[in-house]
Amino acid sequence: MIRFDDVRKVYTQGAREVRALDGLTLHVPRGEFLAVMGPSGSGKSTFLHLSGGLDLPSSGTVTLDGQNTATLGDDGLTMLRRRKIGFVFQFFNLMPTLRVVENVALPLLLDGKGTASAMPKAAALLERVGLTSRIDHFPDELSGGEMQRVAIARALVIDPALVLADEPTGNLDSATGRGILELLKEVAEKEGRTIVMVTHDEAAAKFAQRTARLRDGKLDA
Amino acid sequence: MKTLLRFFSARHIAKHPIRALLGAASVALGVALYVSIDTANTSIAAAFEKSVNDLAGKAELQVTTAEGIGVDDGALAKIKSVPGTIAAPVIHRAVTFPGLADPQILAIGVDFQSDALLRMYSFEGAASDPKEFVAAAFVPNAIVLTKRYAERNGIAKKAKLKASTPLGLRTLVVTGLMEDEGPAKAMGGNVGVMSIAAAQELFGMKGRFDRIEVAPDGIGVDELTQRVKSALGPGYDVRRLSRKSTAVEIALARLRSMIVISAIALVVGLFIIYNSVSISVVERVREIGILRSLGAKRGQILSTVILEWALIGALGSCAGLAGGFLMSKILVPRASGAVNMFAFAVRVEDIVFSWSGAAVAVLAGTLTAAAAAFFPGIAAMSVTPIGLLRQGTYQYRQTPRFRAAFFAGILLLAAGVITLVAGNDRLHPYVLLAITTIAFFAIALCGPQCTTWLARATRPLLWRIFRIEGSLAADDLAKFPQRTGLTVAAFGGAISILVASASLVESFRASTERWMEVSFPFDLSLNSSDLSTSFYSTSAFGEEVLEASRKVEGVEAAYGVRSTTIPWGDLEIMLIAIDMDEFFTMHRAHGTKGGPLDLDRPEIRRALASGEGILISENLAALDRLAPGDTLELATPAGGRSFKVLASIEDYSWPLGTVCVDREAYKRIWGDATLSYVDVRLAPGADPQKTRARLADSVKNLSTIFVYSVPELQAVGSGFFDQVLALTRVQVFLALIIGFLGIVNTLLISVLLRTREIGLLRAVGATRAQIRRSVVVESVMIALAGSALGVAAGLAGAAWPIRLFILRMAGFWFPLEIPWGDIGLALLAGAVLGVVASLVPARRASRMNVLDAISYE
Repeated sequence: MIRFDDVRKVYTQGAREVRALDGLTLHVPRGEFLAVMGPSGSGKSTFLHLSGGLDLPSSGTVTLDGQNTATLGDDGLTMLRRRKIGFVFQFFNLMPTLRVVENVALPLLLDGKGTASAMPKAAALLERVGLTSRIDHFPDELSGGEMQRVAIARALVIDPALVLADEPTGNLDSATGRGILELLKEVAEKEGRTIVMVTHDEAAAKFAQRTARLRDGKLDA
Repeated sequence: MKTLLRFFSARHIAKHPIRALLGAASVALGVALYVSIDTANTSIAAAFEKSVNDLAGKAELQVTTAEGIGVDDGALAKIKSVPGTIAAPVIHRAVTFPGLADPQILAIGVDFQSDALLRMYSFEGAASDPKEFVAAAFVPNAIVLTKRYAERNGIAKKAKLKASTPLGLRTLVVTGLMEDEGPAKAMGGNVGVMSIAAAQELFGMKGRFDRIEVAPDGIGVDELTQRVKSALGPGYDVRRLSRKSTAVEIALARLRSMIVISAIALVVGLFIIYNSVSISVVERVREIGILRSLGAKRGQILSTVILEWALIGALGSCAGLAGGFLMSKILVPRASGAVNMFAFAVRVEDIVFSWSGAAVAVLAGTLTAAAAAFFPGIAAMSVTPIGLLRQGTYQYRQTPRFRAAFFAGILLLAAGVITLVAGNDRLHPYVLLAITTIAFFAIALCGPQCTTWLARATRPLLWRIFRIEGSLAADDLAKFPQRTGLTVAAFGGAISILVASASLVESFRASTERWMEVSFPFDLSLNSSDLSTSFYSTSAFGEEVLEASRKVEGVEAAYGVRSTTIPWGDLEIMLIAIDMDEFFTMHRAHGTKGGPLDLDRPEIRRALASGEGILISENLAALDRLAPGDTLELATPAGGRSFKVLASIEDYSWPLGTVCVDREAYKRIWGDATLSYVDVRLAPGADPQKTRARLADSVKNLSTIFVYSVPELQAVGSGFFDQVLALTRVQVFLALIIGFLGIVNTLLISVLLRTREIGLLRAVGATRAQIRRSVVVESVMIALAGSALGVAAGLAGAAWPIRLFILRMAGFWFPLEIPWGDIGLALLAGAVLGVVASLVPARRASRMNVLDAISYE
């Protein structure tokens, strides 16, 4: 599903160059639940951003579902994100002006689907994550765990081949976090979706099938 | 404070220069509008005053007749016999030299022997023998021009110039040139001097002068006035030499009435800055929290924020001063052109910068910016340091009570309406201006709640048309209703200026056309003055012209009219005497519906014929609060006389008002049988061109007559109109730019505030085009809502406070017309400006780096 071949990503901070990824080679097969760990500055977030087509490598090749991201262009990457990738952020990033069901349906609506098809699907996913009673609420009326479940529902609404989760439990208490991780695990196991989760938490990583540890932009052997 | 300004304010401005620039630009435009009006006003007034002083010389008094038909030789002899006086007769007339680059001059007819005692002349080549020069230069059909004017127009001594005069085209010989001294300095040098006899002959004033000017010789001015009054007896008007001109006063008042546009523009600027300050406070809330937790006092930070924006306002105001000064260079020629259509009274050579006006403008601009900063600053200061550090708390505390603001706005509007109803035409113009300005504040207060309702109401429609982009745009409108509401009010303000101006202009145009339609029952008008030179003149011809016209083949009927001006306080109103019987008869033949025929009632006819009653124009009735049944005292040769007001009529002849009397009564009371024009109705089937030629031929030996058809008279009216319109167009254009800047400002803020959201949308699959579309839809929604508000506010303003303001300032009063074409144009312009204003913000939003946007705090 994801192939990183000798990928380098260099940022400039003022006059200084920062090598966020330094020749990373990593393959994530379809259907795998991968946890990515590492200390701050190890390149975890950069790995996630490149995996989601949010950024491009300085050198090397990132291949998503058989497509080289460097050749897709902005519109191609947007379409890839829209139809194949679901994102779950640490800070939920829900649209505050949209109701819960609208937030979940948003990727479908952006893709030109009508409300007649988008809303029932969003509602079904909300039922699956246990939030049917909150369907017409606004994000600021939800708890942190509820917001993250909405974010997961939004990530799944497009039936993505790949779900990228950036510290999905980083902002939640442990009990709520566990619920979220179980949900992600279920998604990977029952639906065969590829999940890449960046985390600092060893306990969270145990929910994944494999853990990749990064240090200084490379795989930590 | 200095430290805070340096580290807190300057750094923030450096980081967001466009926002500071937009704020400064909106103040600059408001100030520029005010300064341009004030500078044009000051320049015209100064040029007029200089000309008056240059022309007056030592003269202190002027003697005219109350009825305004000129003073005769007898009066001059009487004044000259009074000890302690120096008297000189004067005729002033505009003369046009067709074909010259600078064709119009003021021709002054003087009796050189007596005039030399009042004024200093310096003739080129006359030093050796002045008497010989005068004898040679002041002969019939001769004129002495200023050297400046001659050089400007390439005129040599002895040149023969074709001059357009009341007697038609005449050839005048330039018999000498004047140095730049005394009266030669007046009117920018556009002055010519001729002998009084030549002027009397040329302007058809045999035996009469415009006025006699008198200077004291060893006695005081009060003593002089007493002596002259008692020597002349009743029927003469003896007063200090007028430093006022009705034409100039009217034009200046019209200019000043445009201040309403600059006031609204400044309010619009205030809204824009309010938005800018609000967002700059929101952005720095964490910084403010840190500063507060480190010991900075509320007052210190508040005054820094206010000072920061006051400085931006002051800088904008200074830029506005420069812009306004440049704009006044466009405004002055048009405004002075409008003056000279009434009478050739002013020629502006130098733009005079008014320091007091500039100080007022800079102060207003600075205070506007400071006031706009005050409220967001106060709001931020009311939160505790820890609350500020937790940004969400501040945002939460910032959620205003929109409903309360809405009701406050409604109450304010109601108070304005009640004041208008109670005070109506008794209100001072500046109270009307204040009501108009406060109405905009009231609308701004209602804005947030209305925005919430509007967004809610339009969301389904926007979804239907633009799908998710439309829905997102509606959500964004509702998310910050205060900001959106203020922008809608700001843009509405700009559009309202457009609509109100269009409505007033259209109303005036339609009223004038309707008035000309119902008041012109004739086909041709024989006029004593050349309307291409000046609208109004006191020149006249005898009644024999009327008799001759009636006998011309193809003429069915004719009536005579005498129009003149009579003193009215310091200024003048117009007196029109009409042969009423023939006038009403012609209207019936013409098939006029309503209008003057509504007054064709026996009791009115009787009162007019007896000279007891008069008709007054609606603007005079409104200006002086006169109603039918009231009495009005008018100056007559026998002194003040009371007349009963019979009715008010639609008449746009004179901005200060018109009084209409029966001509037979006028002849008896004012002792003047001359005519200003004769209106002629053609017999059915008569050939207009041939009859016109026959008419001109029949009166050619009687006087100088200019014959006009009704369409030609209407064209003269339109020409005047275009002059007035040209003045307002520039102002309206600038007001629209301010509204446009408001939308750009708001959208840039909106994009900035939504940075994270936009990043998120991009992350979950929104294309750049979708982001762009949502910003454009939001912008167009703001612009359309603003346009709708502007149309409503513009029409309401034009219907009431602004119309009253214009009546008080410029003397125009007319029924309101709805300018449908301009309203359509305003809505279209709103939509187009909305799209254009969104281009930069939309581009900025769509080009946002997704990762940067997601991590944006």
